[in-house]
Amino acid sequence: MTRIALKSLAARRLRTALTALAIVLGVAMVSGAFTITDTMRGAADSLSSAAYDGTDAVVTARTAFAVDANDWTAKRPTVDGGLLEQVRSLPGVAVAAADITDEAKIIKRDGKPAGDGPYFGVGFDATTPGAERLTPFRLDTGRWAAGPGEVVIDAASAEDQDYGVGSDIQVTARGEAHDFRVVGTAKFGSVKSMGVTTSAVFDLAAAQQLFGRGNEVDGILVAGREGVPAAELRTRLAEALPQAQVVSAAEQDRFTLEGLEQFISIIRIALLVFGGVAVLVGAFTIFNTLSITVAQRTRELGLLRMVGAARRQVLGSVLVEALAVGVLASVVGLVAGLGLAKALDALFDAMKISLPDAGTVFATRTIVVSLLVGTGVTLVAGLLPAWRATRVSPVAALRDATPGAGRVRLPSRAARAMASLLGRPAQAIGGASGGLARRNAMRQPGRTMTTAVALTIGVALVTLVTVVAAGLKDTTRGSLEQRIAASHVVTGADGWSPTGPQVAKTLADAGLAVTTIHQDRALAFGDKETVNTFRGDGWRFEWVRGDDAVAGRLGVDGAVVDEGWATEHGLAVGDGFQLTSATGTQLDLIVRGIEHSPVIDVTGLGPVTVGPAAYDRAFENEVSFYTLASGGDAARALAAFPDTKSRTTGAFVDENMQILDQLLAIFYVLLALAVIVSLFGIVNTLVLATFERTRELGTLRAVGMSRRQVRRMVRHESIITALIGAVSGMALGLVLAAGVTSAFSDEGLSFAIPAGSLIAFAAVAVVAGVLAAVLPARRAAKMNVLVALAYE
Amino acid sequence: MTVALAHDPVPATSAAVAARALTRRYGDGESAVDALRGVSLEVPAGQFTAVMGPSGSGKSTLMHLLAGLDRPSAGSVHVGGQEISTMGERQLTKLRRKHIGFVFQSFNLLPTLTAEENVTLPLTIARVKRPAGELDSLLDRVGLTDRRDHKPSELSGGQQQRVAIARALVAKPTVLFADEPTGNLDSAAGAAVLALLRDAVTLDGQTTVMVTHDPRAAAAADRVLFLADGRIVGDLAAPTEDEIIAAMREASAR
Repeated sequence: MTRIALKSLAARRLRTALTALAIVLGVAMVSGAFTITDTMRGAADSLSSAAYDGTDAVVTARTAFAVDANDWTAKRPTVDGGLLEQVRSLPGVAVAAADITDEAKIIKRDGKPAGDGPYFGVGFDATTPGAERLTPFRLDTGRWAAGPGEVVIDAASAEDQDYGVGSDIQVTARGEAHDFRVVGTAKFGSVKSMGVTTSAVFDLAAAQQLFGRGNEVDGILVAGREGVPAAELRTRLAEALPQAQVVSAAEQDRFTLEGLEQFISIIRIALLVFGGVAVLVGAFTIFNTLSITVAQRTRELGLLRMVGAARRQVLGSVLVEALAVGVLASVVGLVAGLGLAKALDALFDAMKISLPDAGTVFATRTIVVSLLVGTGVTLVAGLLPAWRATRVSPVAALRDATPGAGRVRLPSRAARAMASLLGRPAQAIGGASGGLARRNAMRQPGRTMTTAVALTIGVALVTLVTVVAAGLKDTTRGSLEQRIAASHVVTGADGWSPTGPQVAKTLADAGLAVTTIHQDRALAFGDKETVNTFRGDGWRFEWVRGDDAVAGRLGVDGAVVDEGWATEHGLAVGDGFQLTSATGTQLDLIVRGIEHSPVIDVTGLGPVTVGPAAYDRAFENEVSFYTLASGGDAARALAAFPDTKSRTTGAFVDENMQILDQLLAIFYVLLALAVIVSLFGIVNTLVLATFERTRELGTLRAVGMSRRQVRRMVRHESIITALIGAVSGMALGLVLAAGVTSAFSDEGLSFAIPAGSLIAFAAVAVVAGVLAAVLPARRAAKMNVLVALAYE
Repeated sequence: MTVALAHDPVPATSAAVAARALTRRYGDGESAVDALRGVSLEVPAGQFTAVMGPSGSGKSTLMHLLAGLDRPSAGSVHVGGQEISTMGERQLTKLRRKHIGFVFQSFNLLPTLTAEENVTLPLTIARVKRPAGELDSLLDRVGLTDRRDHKPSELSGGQQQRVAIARALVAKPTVLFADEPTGNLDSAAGAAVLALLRDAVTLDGQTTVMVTHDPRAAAAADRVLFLADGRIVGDLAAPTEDEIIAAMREASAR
């Protein structure tokens, strides 16, 4: 029986290939997701070991709670530089050097900052013997910076901008541009630069001045003597330095590699989810194809039963067919995924995102999961058709097999009604071909529906995402326009970087009305929360309780809290609560007002806002995340600040809308895969139907139908099927979207039917239908009339 | 080879279908099979010709060649005065629309279409309009006026074949080809189908070529050709059933 099943697969190579392709794409996505992210993680690990392996311990300031490296709203407390001598004197310490790791941007020849961030600005004490083992930077050319006005830059930026030893460049640390001379270029471990980052390495004293550290440093990097285990060294240091905090370099993570890991995880999950959708859609195709095949082979199966095959053997033969397709598709998909990963790697290269060449990581897990998913899903999809095959009685061998003539169930009736309705345009414009196509789509509604459902899934998700995104854009735009009561918004040149205090001061000096938004982290009710303060009156809360006058009178103990947060912690106006800053300062606050935040707050406001006086008591982060300005020419005032971007509030809102649009575009691209897989389903069903209707096609040709008309007939049936999928998908998507938006209606998420998009989806479905029909239509038209008529 | 019958009003030169020295060889080399070995014939307009012969005699091949479904290895075929054996696919499609009607042994109706839609299918495909009265009288003639909205699955075999005949007649083709039209029918239904074909010839002068192995069916024709081993071995004008049986015996004895 197994041989019969495999022979039938080999005999129908095209069908087998089409069926397998549906699963291949999904499996490729899964194996590609694993391979890409494993490779990226391998690169990240290699960066991490380059960055941290030489350092056994880091002495930092004691904090009230752990401040994550990639927590960019938080300011890490600093330690006194004098601590260095004390550390050096401790037993077990081989090398100790002070470190500053902050943000500094290298200005390109066109006057704009280089790179897309992070922009590392590092103070490195090269005068300490052996300090090189404490830093990931490796001199490529020149020497280390040895005084004010000297800098070492990363090799990638140097190459990009044609900077070299001796070049005079500008560097900015969230303020005015400063002149520096390049005295060397450095690699980050083995790579020219870490991903898309840029690095500027200064002499320690120069960094202290540039970043306004005074005599403070961010931490002291320590390497232990030979024979002293890192953990033991840290214990000794912690005992000797009760006023400080001792952690490993990876824990401190000053190059925010943990953020890279998180980013990789998000990519992995996203790719796996979309791969999963593609596999699911592929399962429908397999199910449909096997169902049709079983129906078509009724007579053959009856014959097998008549010559003595047991039900179990019939079941086995269909399952073996599914298994063979599943294994074949999984293996091809696995390899295709590897290719996908390589292609993406090449793309990174082309985009100059340099990752350490850790080699493509092709883990055993990738192989096992991909094969299991592909084969498993195919087998499960084959179960029902296989069971149906066992229901074929031996007598079927003697009857004229008329596949698909069963009871018409409710979903089928709905499908028939949809086919009838959506086939009307085809009938109207397609003449005889269109009319016949409509009837063909209606004749086996169950099959048409299963074929269409594959498309339904993708279209439903696309519709859901579109509606929700439109609602989000709408509420986000409305909220931004309502909350920013200033004519201009100033940020770093990349559009999101915070700006330093100098920027606000320069604007104010130029006579503009300025509002700065500051944030830092604090502990409240046991959780780390972001605390905001506004200096200036360019911000308008969306009030639930309170009014604009409240915001101006917060004093040293007043707070405005977010509505959701207030509900979570049972706070009402007049209630008190406590905040603890990273440095350990406690603030006793009283709720003076309650505000309402949108679903997506692009300004990234935290749940608690305090007055500037209270903020200054407890917090140190003086960068302004958004700087609002009115009443003057902000751009001209900031001419000396290359790392600033000033635009009207309207343009700022549009920028944020564009970011949402880009996100939407990524969703579309990923969902397109599911749509492509469902197209294979349509191709498959049409090929099978053409095969099944051979004699009808012969008859049609005999009574005068031209090849063109035959092609048009197949094409129209394909379009009708695609439209059924698209229309039911859009309906389902709208229902889901209505559910999601109503769940968030309190947050102002609105529901609107995106008529234009829906029309576009229908148009795409028509095009998809046309594409899916190309191959089946050609096969149908090429059929030899005489052979077709003789076909039984 | 031409047999002008006494009651045939049309002169032989205006043959609806003419074949000249037709041969058809399948395959090549040693395994080649000659299905037809030089057949020439003319079917005058308005004549009802039956083609008979044992299995493998080449009668189906002959019909396929005459109808343009297959191409001869040598020789020529004219339908309505046009040489068809050299026609391309497009021309053949046009030929089928205008000049050729088909009736098959297994009816070959489109299961998704009603009886009436099946009948008008050739017109729909060719985008030709006919007066409604013409269709009504055609349906009336084949006795399906009250069944016009039924699907083929709701019709008996005889009724289905009558639909098929109406479909073949609707475009008023130059020649109607019938391939064992009674082969799948009981004798009563078969007789009704033959009567319809006969009427079309007698009343409308519909040129008809019918392949059959049923002597009773052949007896309805104006002329019966006998094929054996790819050659015409007999040509009888309006024979009776008994004459046909006798001729068959003689043909198979050769």
